[in-house]
Amino acid sequence: MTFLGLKIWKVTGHSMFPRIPQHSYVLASHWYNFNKIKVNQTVLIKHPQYGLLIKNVAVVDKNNLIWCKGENSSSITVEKLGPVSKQQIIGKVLKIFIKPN
Amino acid sequence: MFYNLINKLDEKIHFSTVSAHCDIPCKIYDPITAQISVLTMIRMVDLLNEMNEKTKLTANDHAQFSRLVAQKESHGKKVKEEITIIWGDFIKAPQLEQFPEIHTLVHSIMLTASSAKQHINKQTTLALLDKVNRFAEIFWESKKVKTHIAVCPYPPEQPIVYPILP
Repeated sequence: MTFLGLKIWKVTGHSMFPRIPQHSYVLASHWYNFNKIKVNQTVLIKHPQYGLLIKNVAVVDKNNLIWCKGENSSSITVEKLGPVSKQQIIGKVLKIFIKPN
Repeated sequence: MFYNLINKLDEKIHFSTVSAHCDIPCKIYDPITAQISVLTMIRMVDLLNEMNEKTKLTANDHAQFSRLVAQKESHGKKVKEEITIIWGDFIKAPQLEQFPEIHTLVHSIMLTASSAKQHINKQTTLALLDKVNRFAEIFWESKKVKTHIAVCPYPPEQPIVYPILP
């Protein structure tokens, strides 16, 4: 369900722990091509091999390709994930909702 | 508060999911591979020590010596690899809280495994087994699985921590 370009997503998997534990929710805005990519920004990626992912931007290289990473060692590595183009980014995380203790 | 609200909404409208993808989230972890690797190292040390008692070595003995050392070496690497995978992928904040000794224990396993690789020393390999057994105990306890210690029914006949499965 999208409202004014905003959508809530449920997070599965552990690669963004401890910042985004499994079963957290994130509020993400739709990604427009004119949006500027920033390092450490948390984004949603449509990856050709792994599907819909939530990752942090690690590096933007000189070819404007984006290399992403998780928050911990269990995450698939930057090298394995490979670079993605701006067109493969579908959202920018604005707010994280973590299950209270 | 917001989380609970969104969670309630999720039960009704089911939000789309996005994956914080792990390397291979298979959830298959078992310290038994590391434990068997240490047993192999101990067995290799026993066989190497038997060779030590011979006064003269034949060409076959030399070939056997190389194979035993190579196996001890590769199983030492395997111990380190298996323990690192469980430590890096399975151990997370709740287990760390429950077993604060785990970082020190894993570091100590790494050092002892290196030492067991470097030397033909039974005491070092036995010390490594003690540490890996403790790691196995912690692993199963964190999964609420009880354990018992039994001597493995094959050489080198050393005590091993086994899970008690229903």
